[in-house]
Amino acid sequence: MINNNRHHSQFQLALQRFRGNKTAMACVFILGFLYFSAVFAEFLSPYSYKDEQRQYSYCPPTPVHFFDQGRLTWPYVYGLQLSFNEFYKREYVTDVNTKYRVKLFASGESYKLLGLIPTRVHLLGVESPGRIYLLGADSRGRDIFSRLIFGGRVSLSIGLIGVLISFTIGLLIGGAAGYYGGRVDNYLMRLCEMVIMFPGFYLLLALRSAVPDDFNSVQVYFAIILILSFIGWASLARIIRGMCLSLREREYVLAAKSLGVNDFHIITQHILPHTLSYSIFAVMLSIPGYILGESALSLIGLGIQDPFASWGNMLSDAMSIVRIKFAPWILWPAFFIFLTVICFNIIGNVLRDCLDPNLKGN
Amino acid sequence: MNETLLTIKDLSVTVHDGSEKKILLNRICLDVPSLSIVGLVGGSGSGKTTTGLAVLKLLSPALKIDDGEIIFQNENLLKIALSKLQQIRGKAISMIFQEPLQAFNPVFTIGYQIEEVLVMHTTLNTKQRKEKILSLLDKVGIKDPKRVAGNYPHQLSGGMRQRAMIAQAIAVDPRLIIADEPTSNLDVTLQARIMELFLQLRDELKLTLLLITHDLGMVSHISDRVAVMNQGQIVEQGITKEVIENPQQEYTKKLLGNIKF
Repeated sequence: MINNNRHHSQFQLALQRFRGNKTAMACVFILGFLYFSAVFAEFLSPYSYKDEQRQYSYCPPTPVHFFDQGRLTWPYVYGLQLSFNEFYKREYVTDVNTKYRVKLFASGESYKLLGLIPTRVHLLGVESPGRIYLLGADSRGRDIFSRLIFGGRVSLSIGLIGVLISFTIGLLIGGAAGYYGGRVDNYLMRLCEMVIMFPGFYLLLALRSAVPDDFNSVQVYFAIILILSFIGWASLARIIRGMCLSLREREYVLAAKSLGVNDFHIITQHILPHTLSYSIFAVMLSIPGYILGESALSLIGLGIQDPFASWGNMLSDAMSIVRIKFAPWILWPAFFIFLTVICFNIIGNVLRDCLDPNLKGN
Repeated sequence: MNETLLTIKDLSVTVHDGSEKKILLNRICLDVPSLSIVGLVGGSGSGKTTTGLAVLKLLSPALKIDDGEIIFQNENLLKIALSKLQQIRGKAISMIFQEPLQAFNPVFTIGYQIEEVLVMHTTLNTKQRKEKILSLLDKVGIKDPKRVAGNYPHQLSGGMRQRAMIAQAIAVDPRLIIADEPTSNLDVTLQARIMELFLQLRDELKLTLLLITHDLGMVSHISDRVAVMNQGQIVEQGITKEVIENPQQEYTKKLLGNIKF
């Protein structure tokens, strides 16, 4: 009888409320789309992130044409001819005599899909020597669209992995401080305060300078994640500690102790799950911090290094007003950073409202 | 009489309230013979729960054990290392609490929480644990063990919850169970049934029971020995029948008076 007439758990109710919020669901779909494209970056991008063609430096987006002399045809792009005007400014003239059909599932550079399946198939492509720059090209003639997708892989994953590490640390330290209290609490909290005390960005720079400069890109990537999570755990630990101080007085904690359950198990199984509703939206709200942190480091050239792409180091191209004026498409990474950050923030805020048990009625 | 399983000797517990020192337990001495049921009776605030918690060193950090010995199977529980104590908690001595709704973690199923004890103290594999859980729930008189194991604490009735709690306490065959007001929140018929269950379990599992309660009447029915506590002291103890029939202390008489209308 109970099984037929199940009432909804707190979490299910929250999820129901969340689903009802159109803005939040739209954000979920946008993020889902971005993460999806990051996973299948090689397939979705026409070119590789390091496929450079110097003669197409700052090439503007190539328009895809659907009509040929007033008739609907298979989409195609025109060839481009580089020329210099009287001020020696680069100009790309469309060559209406050469047309390149945009091919679906075109074969291009070979890669391994998901790191497993070797293939050459790309979603879009044009025949060489034609180039398709959906969102323009950067200084070295690399496709910004492709690099955005590859860059998303770095920028988006740093948020998730960073949050995972710093929340594990934060939850365990906060949990231990709150659970044991007394001297342990005192030491751990002073440690937290020491981390919080430093202005985040300067601590980030200082820690980055402590990383050896002969690291390769993968090592730098993980170093950045570690640095960002090292800065991020402290404020969470403080809040979790406060919640644990009251949670440890619950009778089921005493009961678990009386049954010989060890401390680690009590903290992780009996105390921390009760901070879940807070942690969930705290996670969502802190992911943008990691994405912005990585972008900031890469922007000033301390993060991911060329030719590897991240939204931050792509933006470093856009640090001069002249370039933005002549090639505004190099600002695309900024738009995606903005989009991702705002999506996470909206989801976080809506989740907070949804998980608040006081809002049950609506 | 059987050998003594648990001996509490001169146990004193104090709480430091600022500069003031308040005595909660004053030189408690209590013997719990093997396979017996001992009732620890007293009014609110008399220190019976404190005594029970002190046996497993579960007192809150504010309370200090000043003096005394708690000897269980020839070992002083107050002196042994925490890791060893954790082997005793649940495995050799387990506790049953007054409010099973609060003593169970609301976010886990009953089955999961019984399993937790099995994971901690036994080497059974997953399948064996599942079977053990069902047999435990069956043993404490739950008719539909499979369903109950999958239920959350709030989905059960008070009596069922208390039975589930007992199942958890006997999960790894402890020698001693400290039951802290196990039936105070249940109605009279349920109280009687739970008490019957205790008697039955004692015989089946060779258990010893330290029953903490304010209800002298209930204790008198099932316990072999009884100790009466008042204001942190044991004022009277002895074989139940003798204490009930011939109380020596005013306080015991008062408690008895209460139940005889």
